[in-house]
Amino acid sequence: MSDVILSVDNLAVSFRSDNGMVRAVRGVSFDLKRGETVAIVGESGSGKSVTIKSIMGILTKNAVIDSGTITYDGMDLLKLSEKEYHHIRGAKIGLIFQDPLSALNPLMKIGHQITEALRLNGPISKEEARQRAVELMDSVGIPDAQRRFDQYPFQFSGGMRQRVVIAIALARDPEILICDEPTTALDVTVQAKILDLIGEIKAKRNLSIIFITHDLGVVASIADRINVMYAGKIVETGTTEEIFFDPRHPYTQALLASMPDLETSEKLASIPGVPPNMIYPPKGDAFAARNPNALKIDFEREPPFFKISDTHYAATWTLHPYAPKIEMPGVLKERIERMRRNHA
Amino acid sequence: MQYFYFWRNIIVDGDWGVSVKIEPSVPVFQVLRNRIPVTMALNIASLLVSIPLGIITGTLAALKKSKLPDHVLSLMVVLFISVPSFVFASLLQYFAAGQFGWFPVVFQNTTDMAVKISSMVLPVLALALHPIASICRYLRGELIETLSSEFMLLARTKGLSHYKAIVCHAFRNSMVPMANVVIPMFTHIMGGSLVVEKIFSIPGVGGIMTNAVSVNDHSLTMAALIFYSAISLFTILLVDISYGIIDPRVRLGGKKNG
Ligand SMILES: Nc1ncnc2c1ncn2[C@@H]1O[C@H](COP(=O)(O)OP(=O)(O)OP(=O)(O)O)[C@@H](O)[C@H]1O
Ligand SMILES: [Mg+2]
Repeated sequence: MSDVILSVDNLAVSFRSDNGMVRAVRGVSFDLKRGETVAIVGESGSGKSVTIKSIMGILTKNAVIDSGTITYDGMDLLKLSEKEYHHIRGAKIGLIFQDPLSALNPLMKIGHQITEALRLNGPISKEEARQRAVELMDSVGIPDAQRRFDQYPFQFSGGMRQRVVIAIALARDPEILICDEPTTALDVTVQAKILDLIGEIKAKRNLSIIFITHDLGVVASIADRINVMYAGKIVETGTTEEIFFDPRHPYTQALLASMPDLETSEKLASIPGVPPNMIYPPKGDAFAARNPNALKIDFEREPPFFKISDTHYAATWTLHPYAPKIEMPGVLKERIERMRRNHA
Repeated sequence: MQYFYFWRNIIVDGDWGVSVKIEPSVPVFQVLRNRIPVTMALNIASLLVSIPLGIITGTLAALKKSKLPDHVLSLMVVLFISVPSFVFASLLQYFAAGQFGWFPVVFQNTTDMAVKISSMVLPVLALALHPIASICRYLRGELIETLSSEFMLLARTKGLSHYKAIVCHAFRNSMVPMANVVIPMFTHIMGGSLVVEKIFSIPGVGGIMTNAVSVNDHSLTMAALIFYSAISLFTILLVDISYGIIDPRVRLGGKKNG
């Protein structure tokens, strides 16, 4: 497939820590196609940020890349020198952070933080840089950009700061935009606006997007494909419809069941237990310990990916031909029915 | 009643009285007048020497965190901060001046500038060790914190080189609160200078004050103390003002979003 722009293959990353190696990412593979939005969904600590930090080449010094390749434009990004990475970071792949409150330098004017990125494209005059930065601020919906150019981050609200971060990420016109939980730190109303903005710039600039979140509700409207990640592995991958209407992995099902929505009156089904300690990753299916219907084999052998359709795969023993049929919980069935109806 | 007239004279006439023991009948201000420039020169020189050295060592320690240079510097910081300056003054005097003869043993008040300056090297150094160590320790902590902050990550994902991100973001941000560390240090240097001036026989305010105290020359002691108090108050004022000038969050705080 030639329209794959970025391909992560069997990526495994560990961190040295005082208590041993933390196996943060354990063999993640996914492709990003040109013009598409791929979401990575999983709860806190599942290794989402580590995956994208590997792509950006900004892992901390205690990180060890155990295996894998990240192919972009015929290069393996994991093999690039720091110097070669300067042509990739910002210029080809932009990143939007989880927490816009701390992502901006508190003591530097907003405008300067944007022009600093613009100037990396090549020498431009001060006036031109200002002009371009103001246009950029306008295009991400910052009102009164001329005046705000000279302000400091503390004079901006969280939503406005996230717009600044987006402007900085777009300054060098990258092909790929990675959004690491860009709305988690924001109010719900602001969240919706930022999501709209991301959708808008994607269409305008023909971007390919990797969208990280722990909230399935957020990705429903924005993603073409969803990878569900648990304990450092992708456990299910499929199109947005397949994941929402036909979830197969018990973890995906649990995520869907625990998603708040306006129409259910029952109590939210929270996922019991806590994620595993990644210094001692579990042997079989990592989710088995929290899955009330886990099979014996789930604790012993790691499930391979079972194919459901050309685009839909899930790593769970329940898809094995010999596995006993386990009914989906009624609440979840109803909810999926309702989503289907609303969707149609 | 005597005491009342004493204060009245000070306040109304600016009459600080006369020295009674050290230079009998000379007005105390005249006794101090020639000494203030010497003390100020010594202390300001120490401060000026310590700033670049503190910055260089602090940056080195932060960038080489948990490596050999950091450990060596940390050890020196502890030593320089905990041992008072007069101990270093005596040691330097004994070894660098006495044993090796690199510098004059005591202050040389001659018109030969080279000799005069070389006789100031050891006292300046003795006084600078503590401030060098505090700047180093402060900058190391501050830099390490900024280096691991999110905005450093953003600076790098923009595409800035590691070096540029450190200089334009981490270093710049760590330098901002620097004035608030350096200015109060001046008072500390002045304190050390009380004794160091005496060790090197420097004709400054510190030396004369220690003499005045030991021979009960009260009016001279008072005048010297007033001088020191004025300097400390002035530095505190400077710190408060500099906060406002340097940090935009304080400077613009009043008119948020305005
Ligand atoms: N620098 C590091 N040193 C040691 N362990 C780390 C480091 N960075 C991440 N980890 C570990 O790697 C695991 C995955 O972390 P990661 O930040 O990728 O989680 P995440 O999926 O992004 O979660 P969140 O939703 O909270 O952002 C965690 O267990 C974390 O403790
Ligand atoms: Mg994260």
